[in-house]
Amino acid sequence: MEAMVNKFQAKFRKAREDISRWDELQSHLVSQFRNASSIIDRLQVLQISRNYGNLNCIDNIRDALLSKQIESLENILVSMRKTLEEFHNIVLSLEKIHRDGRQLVKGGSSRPTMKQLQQRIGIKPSLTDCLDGLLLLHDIHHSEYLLKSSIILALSAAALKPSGSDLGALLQLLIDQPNIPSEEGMKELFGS
Amino acid sequence: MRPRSSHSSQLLYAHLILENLVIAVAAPKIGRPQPHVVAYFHLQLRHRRPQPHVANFLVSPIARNRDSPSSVDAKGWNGKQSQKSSKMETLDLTASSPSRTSDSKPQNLNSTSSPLAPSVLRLWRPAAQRNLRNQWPKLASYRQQWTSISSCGRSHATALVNAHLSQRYMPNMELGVLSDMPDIRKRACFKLSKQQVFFFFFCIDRMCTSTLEILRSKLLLSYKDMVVVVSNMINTSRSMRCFFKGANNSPLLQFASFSEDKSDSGDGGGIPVFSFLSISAHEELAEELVQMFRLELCLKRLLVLEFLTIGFETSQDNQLNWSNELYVGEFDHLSNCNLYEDTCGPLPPRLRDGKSDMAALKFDNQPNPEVLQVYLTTWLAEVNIDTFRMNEIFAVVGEEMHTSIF
Repeated sequence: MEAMVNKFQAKFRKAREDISRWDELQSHLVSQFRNASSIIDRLQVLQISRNYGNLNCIDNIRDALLSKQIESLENILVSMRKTLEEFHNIVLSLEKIHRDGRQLVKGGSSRPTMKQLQQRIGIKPSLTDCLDGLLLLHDIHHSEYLLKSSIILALSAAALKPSGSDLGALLQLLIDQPNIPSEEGMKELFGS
Repeated sequence: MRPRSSHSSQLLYAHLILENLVIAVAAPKIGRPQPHVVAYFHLQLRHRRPQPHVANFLVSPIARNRDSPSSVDAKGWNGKQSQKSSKMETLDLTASSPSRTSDSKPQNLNSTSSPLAPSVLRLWRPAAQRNLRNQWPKLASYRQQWTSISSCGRSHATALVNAHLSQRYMPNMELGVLSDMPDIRKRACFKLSKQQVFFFFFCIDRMCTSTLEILRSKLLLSYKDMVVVVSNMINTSRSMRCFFKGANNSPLLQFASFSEDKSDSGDGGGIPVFSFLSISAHEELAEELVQMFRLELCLKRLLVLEFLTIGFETSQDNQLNWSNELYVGEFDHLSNCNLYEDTCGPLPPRLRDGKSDMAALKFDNQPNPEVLQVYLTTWLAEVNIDTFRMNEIFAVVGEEMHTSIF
């Protein structure tokens, strides 16, 4: 049993790597979102030729500037989608870790009894705790991934219809990651 | 270094074997190894074995006695074909002739379209290649410089705009409990003038004005740096040709934007320098690149003028306008960039294939925040620089030169 718990520890280490990668991606995504939303905010101002002041002396400056801004907005949106894809990969990896863990317990030749599953050795957690922890990790990141996808979708929609959308609230939602517990919660999960 | 004992004669034998190997290695250098040449060497070696002076080989294989029968492998070592010993003359010729033909073959093929003699092109091509390999990375590094200077300039401009706006809206701003404190503004200003402009929110007296002044001069410096970068770019794009100096047979080549000899166009008669692109094709690509920055520089000049004007006292006589020289020597730099004409001053900003009308230009010292936002966005967006096309140009040229320019 103890050997199996050690194997689970390795799995948690792997999950921790995935999650630190997640944090990197998160800050990346937030800065991408900020850039995109500041461009979207500007678009309205840029559409009024009165705002161009002396630049109006240059032919077509408004169209050129608008198309350049939209071009960079598109680039940002594309790279955000790529970032989202990486988030998805992390979710898949967490799912696999959990599946492997379950396989380890239930698919092996020596199927442990219920009692063994809940047995604790010293300060180490029981096998059930380990499995539940892995499942929870996958669950929260999966939900958060779905939330991020819809936020990005809302951002793309806002790009088409700049007025009446609250990008600030969306940004706050993106930063808060409501599905993922705060740092202390995570520490508890990794207590093993 | 003559061997004196039996031990050294054994050593000698080993050297001879070594020498044999050397010949085998050196032979492909001279050309295709000719069977009879190798056979001849074998003969020589076998014949020479008792001769003790062969041990000289150990000391210096190149500085061998010319009259010694083994002078051919000395030629194999240093590749010179002018050395001729009376004994080896015929062998020399047979050994060196294949190398000549194999060297000149590809050049003959490429130079069929050029009016210049193959021997001239043989000199020209490596020099031209070296020149282009030097010039293109320079353009790439100027582009990097431009990017960093431009972003510096943008932050100065943003700071300037923020400082101006907070100054403008300060009189209507409630300082709340802070206004009760004696000298709060003065003190804050004194301290903040040494810190970031960010805090200029609290500053409304003279200190602020002087900070606007500092920001203006910083912005102007950024602009000046950009002019220098574009000027360098243009000089580089003009130095792609490679001229012969003096007589055609002279090995001296020069890289310059003009030639003393009118008949020498410096492009090797239009042959491809590497595999496909001729000098003029390289120049066209460089010109396309430079043109983007030239147009952008013009636009930046207008923006710099706008930013310098904001918050400027209207009562002052030195009202800025387009034909002012922004810093000493600016017009010299601009005319080097083909952006200045003596008759009409600095060329007006325009977009590619576009026009402009500077007649109605009037600089506003209190522009709307929206207008300022548009100016800042225009600075950031660099509408004249087509990043995609620029990367494409660098990629094409890099592929042509078999090096990555980035």
